[in-house]
Amino acid sequence: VTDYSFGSLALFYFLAFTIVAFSVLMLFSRNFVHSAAYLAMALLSFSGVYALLNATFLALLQLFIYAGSITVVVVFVIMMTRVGVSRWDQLLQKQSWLAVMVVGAFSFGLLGALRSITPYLGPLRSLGGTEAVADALLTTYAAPFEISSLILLASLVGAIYLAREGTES
Amino acid sequence: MIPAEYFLYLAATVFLIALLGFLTRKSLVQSLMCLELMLASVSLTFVTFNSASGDPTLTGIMFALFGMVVGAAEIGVGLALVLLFFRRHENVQSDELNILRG
Repeated sequence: VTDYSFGSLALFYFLAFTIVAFSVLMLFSRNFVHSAAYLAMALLSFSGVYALLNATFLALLQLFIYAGSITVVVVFVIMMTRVGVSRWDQLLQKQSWLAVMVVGAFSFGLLGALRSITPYLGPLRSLGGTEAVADALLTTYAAPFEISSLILLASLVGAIYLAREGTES
Repeated sequence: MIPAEYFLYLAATVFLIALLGFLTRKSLVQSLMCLELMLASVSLTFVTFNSASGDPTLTGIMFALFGMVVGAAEIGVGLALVLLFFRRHENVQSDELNILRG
């Protein structure tokens, strides 16, 4: 059982603030490249939250995959599609008020679910160190592990097929 | 020590922000970015539940791990589709996807 000191609570508040702040900034930025940078910062802070939960392996993966490669791919596509700053009426769907209402209703449902589940949550325990993850990945979860490599290969081939310079129409 | 529900509330907040972005933005690239943020927040929920329940078989962490794999595959294919879309329409607005409209 990990004993979290006050320092880590302050760290949690800091990380939570950066995640929420950068997510909101991403939502309200008109420039696509800026919004990709804010996404990278938010995902970087997510990695810190995983480290706070002592899921060190996931924290590293989050850093490599999300904050690293996915951001790079997104920036690539932003640059290849040549769309820069645009006006708000070009950025938002016409039925945005409907989306706001849906999200509002959904947030009440989510809040209710979280409130009802809170009494059943135990204290946080330190699980998911690299050794434990490696153990589980190569014994219990060996088959999904192999299948996931197949998924990645299939998506690689699919992405190349879709994005290549097409000869037809 | 940090109560477990704090992590859940954080994940829920980020999920809602990203959902709002996903539903309101026209640009396919920004929709995909919001989708990634939603996926990350759900992963955080899985890991929190795993730590709070003390599951030694690491089910939640494995869910988050394989979710990351699927997310990486999805963003690759999704952005390839966006590129394809850009070549045909010269923009990335999702309201141009109206071929099936009756």
